[in-house]
Amino acid sequence: MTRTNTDLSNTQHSFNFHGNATEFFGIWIVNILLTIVTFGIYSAWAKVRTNNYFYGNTELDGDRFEYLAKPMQILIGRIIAVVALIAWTILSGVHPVAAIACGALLTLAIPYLSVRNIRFDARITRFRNVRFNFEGSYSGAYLNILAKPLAAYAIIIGSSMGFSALLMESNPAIAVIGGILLFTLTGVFGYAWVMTGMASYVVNGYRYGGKQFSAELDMGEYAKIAALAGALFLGSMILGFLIILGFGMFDTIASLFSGEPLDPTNQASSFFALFIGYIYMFFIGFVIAAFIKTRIRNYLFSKTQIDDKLQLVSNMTLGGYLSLIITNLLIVVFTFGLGRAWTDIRRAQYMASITQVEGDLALMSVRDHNQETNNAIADEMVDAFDINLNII
Amino acid sequence: MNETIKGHLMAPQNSTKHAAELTLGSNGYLILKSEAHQHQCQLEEVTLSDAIGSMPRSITFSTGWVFISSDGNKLNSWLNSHCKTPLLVKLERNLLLIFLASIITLLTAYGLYVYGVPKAAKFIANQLPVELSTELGDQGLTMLNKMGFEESKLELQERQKLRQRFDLLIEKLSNQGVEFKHRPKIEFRYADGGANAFALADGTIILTDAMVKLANEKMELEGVILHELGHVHHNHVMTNMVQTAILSITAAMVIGDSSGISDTLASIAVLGGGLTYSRIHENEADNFAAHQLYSRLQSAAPLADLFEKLQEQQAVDLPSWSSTHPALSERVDTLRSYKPSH
Repeated sequence: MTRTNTDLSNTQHSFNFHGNATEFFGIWIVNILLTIVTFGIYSAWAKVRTNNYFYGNTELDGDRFEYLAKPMQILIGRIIAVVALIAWTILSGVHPVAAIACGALLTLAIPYLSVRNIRFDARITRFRNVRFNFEGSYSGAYLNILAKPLAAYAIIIGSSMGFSALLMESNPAIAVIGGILLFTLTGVFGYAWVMTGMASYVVNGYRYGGKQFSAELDMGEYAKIAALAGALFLGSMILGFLIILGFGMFDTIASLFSGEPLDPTNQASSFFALFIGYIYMFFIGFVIAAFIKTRIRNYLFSKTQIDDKLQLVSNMTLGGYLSLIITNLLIVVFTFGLGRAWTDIRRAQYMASITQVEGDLALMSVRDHNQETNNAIADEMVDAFDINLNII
Repeated sequence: MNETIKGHLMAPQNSTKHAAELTLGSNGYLILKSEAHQHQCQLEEVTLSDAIGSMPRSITFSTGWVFISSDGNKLNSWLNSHCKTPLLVKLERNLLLIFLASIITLLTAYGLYVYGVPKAAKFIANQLPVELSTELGDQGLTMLNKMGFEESKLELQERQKLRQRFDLLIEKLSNQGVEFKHRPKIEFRYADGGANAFALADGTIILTDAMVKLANEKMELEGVILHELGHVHHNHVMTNMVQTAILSITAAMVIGDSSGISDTLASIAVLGGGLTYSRIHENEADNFAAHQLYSRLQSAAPLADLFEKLQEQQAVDLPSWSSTHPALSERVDTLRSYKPSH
């Protein structure tokens, strides 16, 4: 095992993204125009062309990735998804019981749809004539995507609420503080438990041709990331509170919570304070989400190997990623959305620049698996309902 | 003139690379040389990967072997001189078309925002089950109590008189054929703040005691009630909810990156868009009230008078773009010069 590890660092291959914004803008805007003109039907062709562009411009060790999905697969999938969505809306509208039944049905279907979605995404991706694949079992999906999260919620809510309820009569102070502590503790570990299970299920089910992806994930690392994110949130809340006190805005905030009307002379300044507070909260949310994503991606990649011969590497930095999403956001806002093409390219460039594969790619001879890949239905259902596991 | 391009070759469904050379003949004849596999054929017999932008293209031979050039530009320009450029690629490079497409896209987005979303939202809101709005109305009332609205301090007798006037007004309206999706009800509440009136999702209209006192002229009170009835008549509360949902989804789609981190920003865009729709709703409700007042008094003046009184009470007048309501002075002017359109 130590020998293979030293072998891994022999060569490092960087991902390179060759697309450019000017060229992609033409493709993107023509896609939109044709989608408008055809009342949305062209969107399936647009998706395929866009993905072709992004996969085909992503290079690793001299070869490009390929996107193999066919527009008709995607179109049929989309039609089914839209019909299902409309049926669901109507059914939910007809009767509250039907709405609950629909919701429960969808919840039960999520693991199944997720497996189909991951498998579809894997199989339509090809590198050096060999497709990726996903062989995770349905039972694994139900365990990791449905059962574990539900159990975690039950434990988090049950333990903290139960503790508070038990002691509320005799000792309210301990009940509240203990409840919050218990909530935080079970929350951090619950999150780590669920995320480790989900990520390890997905990664270990992944294949490149016949070669297996593998990752042994440590729950402690996920718990550490969650705890740090929590501390970051708490710290910024305290900081924000101190700022409010410093500016003498406390009355404004207090009256907002108590529902008392504001002194009219203060109305303009409180409007301003509210606006700043909103921006602040928004920015904190941004930073924390980026922090979690950065740390988890780097960790997950550092643990992921292909066939024990290749090692994935991710060097994402919080500053780099944060400046990317903030500048991208400003571009989109100030171009009324037209800058979206540019931001997509910038994102792909960044993601490629921080991702590497260690080990000798050329030495690995891989044969493709031979299954068919013509079922886009589940993939598009997932698109429409926006089920995304978000393991990285 | 023959050109030779170096590159590599991959066997069908196998990732191993073999060094290869491809000779491109001026007549479109291809000669592939490699230790692993050799092949000769016309350009028409091979499968080319799609031409997209300046992406290097790959050549798949009828035997399933794939040739990848190490000089993508050279191969692409040779292919371009031997094959017709697909129409789509021409379109994607046409600056005039790109410019026009940008304009059309922006105009379509604007048109959808101004006409499409409100129409769709109204349609969907009217399809929603009545149970939903009843439930929302109940929730609204519960929330009022939490926000510091108390039992009305008006005399019981006065409240009863007001209710009778309200019922009379509703009767008149229904005789004229004005339809309401929810049966309008009236409630009185006391709050510390200024005069206020609003409509809930289930057609309940709330007047604060201060508003009842402010609208002491008879037709002024009728005016403010008619304004709120306008909201009920147009099903504004539910429409607003659907509009917000549509805007949120759209904004998340435009702004959102795949990580979902920017999705929160979408809410700011939605807030801005929602304010515009809210002002449109206020104008619709004003118009409803003005129309009813005019049919009785040949003038919409009472509501204008009431708005002027409200304006005096207000310390700061927020600019209309930042507010849920249009500027009061504009609304007063519109009401003063109101003439029915038919």
